[in-house]
Amino acid sequence: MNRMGSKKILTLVDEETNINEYELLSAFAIDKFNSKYIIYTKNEHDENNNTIIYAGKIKMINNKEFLTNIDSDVEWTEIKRVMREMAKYSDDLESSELDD
Amino acid sequence: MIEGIYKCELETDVFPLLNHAKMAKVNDRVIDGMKNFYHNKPTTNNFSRINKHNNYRSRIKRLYDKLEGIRPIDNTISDVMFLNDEMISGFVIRQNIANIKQTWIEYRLMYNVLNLSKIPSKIQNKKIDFTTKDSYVLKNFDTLFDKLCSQFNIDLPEINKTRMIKPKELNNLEKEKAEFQKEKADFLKEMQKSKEELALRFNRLEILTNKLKEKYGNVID
Repeated sequence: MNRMGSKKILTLVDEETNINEYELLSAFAIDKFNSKYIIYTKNEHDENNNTIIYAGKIKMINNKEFLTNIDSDVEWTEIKRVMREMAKYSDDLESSELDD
Repeated sequence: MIEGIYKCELETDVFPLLNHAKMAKVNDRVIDGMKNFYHNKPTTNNFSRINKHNNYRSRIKRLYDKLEGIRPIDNTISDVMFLNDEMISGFVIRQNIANIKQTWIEYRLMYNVLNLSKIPSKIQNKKIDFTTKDSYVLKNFDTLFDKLCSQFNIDLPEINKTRMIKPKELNNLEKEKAEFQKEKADFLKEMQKSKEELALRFNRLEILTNKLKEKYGNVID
């Protein structure tokens, strides 16, 4: 795996053969959908200092792995839920536990 | 561990991208959490039961550091209960800080723990001597009492009366004892006299009996 320090770098080649590097944030499988997903970022921020992230689904086509869009709303809702759950793994003390 | 979700290692770091990916905006907490989840980094919010104790402590410590400049509403510690290894402290909070209730609870816990270390750890138990000792006072009560009375010119008529009675009674007791002894002696004397008389009479009777036997013994036969 390509790593820069503690970061994992993902290289994505789009349909126009543009190569872009992203930082891999997480990769996980969801039992319910029997699929694997990747979340990555280019570390871009908006005006509120939120980070823009991208989520893709890994699909096997002709024995090769491709990254595709998440078309299903159900899947996307589930992925958003997973991301919220993962926030609890944060070191930041302003975690959801304090917001009871 | 999130139910139904499993971290997966990627076999490759190069992917052809079909279509576009789904975009979202998240805060740093989510980013942090995702990275920790993926890299299996031990975090203070790790829900593993094994690390539960340490996670709480390190979280409390960091919380305390962050709130260093803030003091609790009152600086007294009251209504502290010790339950096994935990301490629970009662407190009152104002409504306007209800939204950071947890922060205050944890701060006070930390505050109590810090203050607890100032309490002396051990109080040595003195060895208690259970052996009985003679009381010097009781033994020498009369002497001491006299000394006290004469030293301070104390006149205690009732006590003096009692003290007068005691030797009087003792005298009577001695008298009675003597009389008793005398009576006993007299009685024993009488007894001895009677014994001797009785012995004498018995002898005489024996002699008579023998004589009679001699005289009339042949006749009966």
